[in-house]
Amino acid sequence: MRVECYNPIFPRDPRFRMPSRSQRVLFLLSAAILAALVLTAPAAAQEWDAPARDLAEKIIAHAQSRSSVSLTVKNISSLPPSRVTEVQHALESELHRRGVSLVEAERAMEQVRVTLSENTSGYLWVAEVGHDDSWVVVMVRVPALAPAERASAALALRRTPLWSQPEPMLDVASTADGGLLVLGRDSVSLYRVRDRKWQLAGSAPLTHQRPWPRDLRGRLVIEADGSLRAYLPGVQCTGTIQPQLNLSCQGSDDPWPLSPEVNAFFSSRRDFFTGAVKLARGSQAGDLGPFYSAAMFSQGERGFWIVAFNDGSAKLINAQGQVVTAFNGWGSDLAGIASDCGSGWQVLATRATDSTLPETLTAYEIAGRDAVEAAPALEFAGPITALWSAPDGRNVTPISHNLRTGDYEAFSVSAICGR
Amino acid sequence: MLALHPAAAATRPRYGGTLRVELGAAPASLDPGQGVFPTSTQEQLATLLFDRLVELDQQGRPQPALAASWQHDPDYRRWLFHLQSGVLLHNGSPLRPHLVVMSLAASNPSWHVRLQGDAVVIESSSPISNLLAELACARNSVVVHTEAGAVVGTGPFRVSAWESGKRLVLTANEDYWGGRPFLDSVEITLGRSQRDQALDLQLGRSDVVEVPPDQIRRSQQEGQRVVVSAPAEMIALVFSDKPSVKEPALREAISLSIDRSAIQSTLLQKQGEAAAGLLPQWVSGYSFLFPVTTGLERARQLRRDLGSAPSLTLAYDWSDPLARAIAERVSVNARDAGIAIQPYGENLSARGANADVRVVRMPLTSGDPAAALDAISAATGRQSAVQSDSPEQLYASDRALRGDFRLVPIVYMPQAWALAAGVRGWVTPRQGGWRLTDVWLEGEKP
Repeated sequence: MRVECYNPIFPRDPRFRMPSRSQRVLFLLSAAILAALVLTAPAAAQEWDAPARDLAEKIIAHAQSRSSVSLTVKNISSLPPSRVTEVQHALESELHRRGVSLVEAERAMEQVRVTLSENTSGYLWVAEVGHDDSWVVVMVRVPALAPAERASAALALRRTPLWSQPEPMLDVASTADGGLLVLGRDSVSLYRVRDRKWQLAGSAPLTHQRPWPRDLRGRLVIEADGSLRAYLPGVQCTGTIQPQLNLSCQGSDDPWPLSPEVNAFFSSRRDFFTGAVKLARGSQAGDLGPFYSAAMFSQGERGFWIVAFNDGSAKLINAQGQVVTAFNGWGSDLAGIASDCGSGWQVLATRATDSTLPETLTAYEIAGRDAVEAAPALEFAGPITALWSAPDGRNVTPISHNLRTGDYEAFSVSAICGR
Repeated sequence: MLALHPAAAATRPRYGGTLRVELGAAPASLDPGQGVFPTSTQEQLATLLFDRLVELDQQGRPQPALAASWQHDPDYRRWLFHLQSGVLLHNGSPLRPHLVVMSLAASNPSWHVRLQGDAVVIESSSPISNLLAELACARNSVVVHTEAGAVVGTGPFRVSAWESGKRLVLTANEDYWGGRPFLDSVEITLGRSQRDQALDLQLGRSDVVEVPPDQIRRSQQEGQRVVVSAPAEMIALVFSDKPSVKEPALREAISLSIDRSAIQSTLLQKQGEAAAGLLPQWVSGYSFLFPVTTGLERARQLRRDLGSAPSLTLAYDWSDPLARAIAERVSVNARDAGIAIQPYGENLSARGANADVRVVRMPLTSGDPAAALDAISAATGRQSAVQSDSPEQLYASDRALRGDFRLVPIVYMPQAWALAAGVRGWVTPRQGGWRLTDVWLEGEKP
């Protein structure tokens, strides 16, 4: 029996194998991870070599002549024009290599009409080989491309891809030794770089008695002592990463960490925090009212909350629990991020849009009662399904459901200053 | 700078509320196994009440559903499925593996389905490499027939009221293994005319109504919120076995005479695509190879070669204005080739076998080309022509299924819905249908 594999161990998207040098310098990702990623990065045009070779071989198998063949390439797919030229060159090169002499259509004894098409599983390159009324059709499948990254500007949000997989992810966390923990719906998985590739190093199931709520949310926290804690609705799991991944889950209504200082209670059957919050140390507690996400920050001596409530509003609340102001157009996910820019603290927020649409993440500075856009928004290829601040506060981990590929993609986002 | 106004929108879903849906079709049964030609409506209702072992995501990749995992042997003849644990039927009893076996065996007589411990084994004498896509089709929903004759499922909603062909009320399955739906309930009114549906949406009496393809642009221009799938339903001619249409050349001549592009541009108002192949281009990737241009000269030649030819009857569903318009257009086109065709409307539920040829709607049952071709084979009573899922083989199968011109594609149409402003989280699968489990209503208290 062969096990059907639907959980690839490598990031599938080419972007995930090609982080730029500046990204490597600027962000505190594992050096080992990035070294492996860079080593496996192909040059952009080389990704066409294999399918061009396959198609050329199929064309040759049916061509009556190699001495005078015309080649036309037509694109009816979503492939950008610049990439079409790459494909055409790759095909010409492969045909030349097999002794085919390409000529103008008028002089050709044999015609090859290639159409770059696509279907549900990716690109489909179709070649019609023949002349007059005698044609043979051959095809090759080609994996789809990933969308391009946007350029960054002065005060910028910098996004570093961490992980991509077809199955839903609730949170990810980097381990001290360069591994990556992925919290899924049913398990926590540990990946490590071995032989220059990401490989599954362990997996531990998340046991739970009741079905998970729809719009499942969860948090993954690596404690200072290296132990692991996973928070899910009505369930908490504790375990270890070393010497091997180990996890034990039990029903629990204990609060989740919102920040190192504050914990909040999460509904065991829904997708929001109940509103009850308490300090991580001490017994102080309060009730904000049901909310989806919240961030704490301080201006001088004064502490504030920004809370995305369940009624759709996002509000700035002072330490006394009074609403200072409300912000328009924000979505239900926000997270605080510390930086060396501006006030040293920004809040990242999604937009108030449908969860079925591509999403943006915008950084705001809180200036008095106003939220000022502090950097160009980061665009994602689908809705953001999770947004958590890292324990150090300097990174935020958004997880996006790429609507084009269907994959769930985890990133590390930081705020950087100047170019 | 941002203003100081509170927003009334959030991106995370909220629980609660009743979604009101209106449909034109009036199915008499909720059992997806009933009916030779499953309609889009039957398939859509099936996804609310029943689950399948596997689902396909928007990219056509199989995802676990009732099956938590699966294995297969190297030549794809034997598959083993491990089921999710703790799944409950709507009547509160656990879904036992033998019930899954009985359901799948009933809907797939050519498979050998059996139990192996708590796992379900599916075996076939020929390779079934596209089994996962097959299992994701609505016709492979796991349906349990109770001793009282009722059908019970495990789906996200359970039936709380059912008036055959008129009204269906569903409530959220609190114990749904995939997570309780956000909606509390769904009220579906059946058999509503297009006019009544449009009016009800306008007056706030409905949240979701159908929009026929020729009304999509107009509805959008009027500011309605319209969601449109990819081309997902084929309109085709299906020829009978009657002696009057036994000559393949006659059927070919009719096929060649049809001006598919004109039908797509005028009757469908440029929605969907003219179809000469059995699958839409977005599913196959090769459908552009089949010419949709009219071959009137060749059609006339075939007609002349036949000598005498009888006047034919062409039936369409009398309650389907688009089918009628297409039937009339086919009749006009055929007359240009010298073939007399008389269209007439018939009651779909009480139709006889008198017509020589019928206009039928065939929903795209899968975004997977092999599974979709298999379903078309089954719906037209043919052996599966799909030997493998290589693109060349699929292309050959597509041609072979149409080789005798008994099934003549005309157009592929999108499914479209107009939504009330408060409907959120609506995802239109490319192959049409619903995903109401993820729909939620703005303004509901969580």
